[in-house]
This record gives sequence, C-alpha cells and structure tokens, in this order.
Amino acid sequence: MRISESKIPVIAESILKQIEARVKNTNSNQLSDEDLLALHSIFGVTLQRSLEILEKHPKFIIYTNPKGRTLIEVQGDNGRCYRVFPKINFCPCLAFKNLVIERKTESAVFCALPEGLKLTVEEGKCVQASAYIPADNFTEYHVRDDVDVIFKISLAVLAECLNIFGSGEEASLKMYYKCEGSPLLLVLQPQSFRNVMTDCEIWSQTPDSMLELRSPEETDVAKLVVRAGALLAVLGDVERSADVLELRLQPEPPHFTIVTYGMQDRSCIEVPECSDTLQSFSCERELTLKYQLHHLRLCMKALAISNKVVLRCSSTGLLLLQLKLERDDNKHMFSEFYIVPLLDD
Amino acid sequence: MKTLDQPLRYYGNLARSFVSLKNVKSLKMKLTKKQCPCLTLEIEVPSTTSHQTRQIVHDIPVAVVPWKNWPDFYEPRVPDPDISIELPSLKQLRTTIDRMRTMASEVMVRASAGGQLILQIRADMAKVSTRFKDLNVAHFDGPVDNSDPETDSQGNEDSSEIVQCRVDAKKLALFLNVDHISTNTTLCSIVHKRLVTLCLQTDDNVKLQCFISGIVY
Repeated sequence: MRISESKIPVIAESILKQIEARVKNTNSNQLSDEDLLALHSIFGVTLQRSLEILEKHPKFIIYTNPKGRTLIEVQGDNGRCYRVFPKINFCPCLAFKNLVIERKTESAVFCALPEGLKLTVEEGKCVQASAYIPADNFTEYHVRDDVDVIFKISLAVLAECLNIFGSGEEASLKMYYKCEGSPLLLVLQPQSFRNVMTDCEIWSQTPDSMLELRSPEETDVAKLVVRAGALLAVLGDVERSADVLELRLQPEPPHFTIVTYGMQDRSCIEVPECSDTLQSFSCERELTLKYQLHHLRLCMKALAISNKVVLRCSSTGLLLLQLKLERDDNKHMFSEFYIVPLLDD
Repeated sequence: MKTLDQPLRYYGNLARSFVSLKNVKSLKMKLTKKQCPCLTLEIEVPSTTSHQTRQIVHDIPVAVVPWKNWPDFYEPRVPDPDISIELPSLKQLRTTIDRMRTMASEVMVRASAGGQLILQIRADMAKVSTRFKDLNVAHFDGPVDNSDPETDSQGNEDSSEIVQCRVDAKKLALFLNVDHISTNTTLCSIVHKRLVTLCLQTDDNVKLQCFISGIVY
C-alpha cells in the first residue's frame, strides 16, 4: 500500500469544521442535505454506517486525561464495546479489519427474490455487474416474500466452497439462509462418490447500498444486439497497451465503429448494419463514447459462455451489456454489466 | 561403485532429473567425486528412432552428511497412534484440500471410531467441513479425552470416539500430491492433538511415510 501525501484528511477536517460552525449558528441541531452530501462524497459508505450507529446508540463515553488525550467508547451492535482514539485511524472491530486492513473487497451482495437469485458486485464506482439465476434453475426454491432477503457475502469464499469437489465434478447443492445475520449454509454432495459430504457456513454481513447507476427516466439512445463471440474476439485482439476503447454509433453507415489507441497504432473496426455480427441495430443520433478497456475486459468471461449480447447506451453514456448465459437444457441465467463512460477532460 | 551409505541432501535437483524418466530401461545411481561430491545417475533410455539405447547422465551436486550428524536423520520415535483409519481416494482428498488451502492455512483432521473422517477449516468468513464416511478403521485405541473446551462437538457424535489433530494444510497437500503413484489405500494414524502419520504402501514394495506434527495453541 503506497502511503502518499493525501489531501483528503485536510479537506475532511475543514468540511467537518464548517459544518460544525454552521450547525452551531442555526437554532436547530440538524444537518442539512448539502452537509450530508458533502460528507458522503468524502466518507462514502462509512458515513451511513456511522450515522446508523449514532441512531442506535446515541450515547458514547469520552474519556479525557490531563494530558489532553481523548478516548471514545462506542457501543457496537452485538453488545461489544469499541474504544477508538480520535485522529488515529484504527478500530478493533471486524469490519475495519476486513475493509481497511485486509481490503477484502471481493464481496458480493446476494439477494434472494421470489423470481430467483441475484448477485451484484462493483468495481470502484464505475462498473456494476449482476448475475441472475432464475428460480426454475433449481429443483426446489423457497424464499420468504414478506422480508427482503439481502446480505453481503465474500464471493471468493462462496466460489471456493461451490467448487470444493473440483470444478469437473458434478455435485448436488442445498443452500439455506435462516434470517438476517445468520450465515449462508451450503451442503454439497458429489454425484459419483456417495460417502462424502461437505457443509459450509459462510458468514454474512449487512449489505452496502448499491450504486443506482441508471435513473428510471433515462432512455436508450442506441441498442445493438451483437454476436458475443465477435465482441469477445475484438476485446481479446486489442493490443495490451491500449487502455481506452471508443465506441462510435451513428444512424448512417458505418453504423458501429470500435476504435482503440495503442502505443504505436490506432485500430479501427467498422461494423456495418448488414454484417452478421450485428444482429440488430438501432441508433437515434450520433454518439461517441469512451470506456476504460480494463472495464470492458471484465465481461470477457461472461461473453465466452453466451451467444449474443445486447448493448444499450443511454443518454448519459452509461453502457449496459446484457448477456444470456447458455446452458445445455432450456434453463438460462443472465448477467448484466453497467459501465460508466470516461468523461472528456 | 561406492555403496550409497552416505545420507545426502539436495532432493530438489533429484526430483528434476527424475522428470526425464518416462520409459527407462535401467537406472544406476553412483556417488562420485567430480569437482565436488556428486550423485551420478546413469539412465538408459530406449530410443524411438533406432534400436539402440541412449544413455543420459545426470550429475547432481550433493553435500555428504558426516557420520556424527546421522542421528538427526533417523526415523523419529513416535507414540502409538490413537486411531488408524484408511483414507478415501487421495485424488478426492487432494481436490478438497487444495480448495480449502485457499481459505485457511490450518486444517483440523478428525477421525471417529465409526469410520468417519472429517476435514475442517475455519477461515475469517467461513467454516467448511468435509465428511467422508464408511471408511475402514484399522485400529482404535480406547476412549479419547475430548473434554477440553477447544473441542468443537457435533451434537450427534460421541466425543470419546473422535481423535483429532490440527495440521498445516500446505504440508498435508504436499503429501497428497502422490495420488498418481499408486491407487493403494493410504493409512492415516493420528495421535490425539499431536501427530498425523500418513503411510502409503505401493505394489512395488515401496513404502512412503509422512509425519506431520500437530499445531497446538
């Protein structure tokens, strides 16, 4: 971890002081919406959690010793008491250990809806990917519809447990989730060996709020249906040194152009509407959008197991890739990738 | 040819030489002195192109262990095991342990007199147990003292019949790499909380024995 001179603590301090001064000057001890927005832009999800703690346990004890050092004691959710020092970036709780020290950001939000399962992951604030597993993929599927069954879970651990008998081995799986706060229980049994069984308990956490990248009023400016294999080939062929991919969509020919800028070259792939790579194309007006190639490469694994991909560009430039993951029988799974465009400087 | 009664070190290079042994007619091992003491392997390989055989010579530098240090290398005297149980197929165990290794560094090996073997790991965010049942118990030495609080008791098992030991997952995985040598059963002997001994007897009268000491907090 590179420790560089970050301006953020200074900015955070000055904003907190400004808010404190403003609240003292007004009669009501309320934080205005602008204050909350400013705090959220610096602290992110941590702000929401800390406000939740303040609501649940409004009293916390502050000890000050004659030398001026302060110790703050905060009640945690499970009756535990956490002691922190102001200005020192450390907390003994598990969440701090996971998020800050070990940076285990490979967690997914697992949501069980009556229609099926949905797992969502995010990368930075720029890419949001979801996998949908409809209920008919399971022989038995029961979800309570009176509560929101949603929790955060380590995706790496879930993937390892699902593959515990090796990725080539067919195994039967049972999943149980009792209630909020309980672990996700998996029971796996391989088809070929009857005398083995694995059970896994994976701890769950409260889910972070997911980015709402797309507002309901946004409409698609362009929609394309592309053969997945072709898009996969393009992403695979692009030179390693290129980091930006430009998509040009226009109602006139050439309709769909993919441009990448490498170290020594510029490669340009034009796809006319009549080509069989483009199964369908509709575009209202000319659009030129740039995306990080690294973000698009995240879709490659899903592209490899689908036949076609639907690309939608909204008026803000948000790119949505929708894929249907093919299986041998008629049951399907879906995945979606939202990618935020690069803004022109 | 000098008889090979001098213990040697440097097995890594030896393993690399053995990689070239696929269809071998004969192998001769000698202890020689070239610029330094060397283990010389003279390998005769039948040639695919002609009827003659090709000879490959490998010289592996070794350090000869002086006679006074030989007691360091004797097979350790170990206490009698509390249980000896036949392991299921090593290939199965290997896939499971390889997956568990990515999540935790230590694995708890538990064997019950009823023929069950349980591998358990506790990671930061998960607890995974794989249970193998209907295994042959070669020997079980009396009821075991499992009354201390560290024992994670599963409700329906009689805890006096369970022998357990916590070992390093990497060391266990290293042994399980021998799954392609032989399909004979491996015998796993456990001294409660202290030692796991794995013993594989191949058809060619070769016995591979591995001692893994237990981790005690």
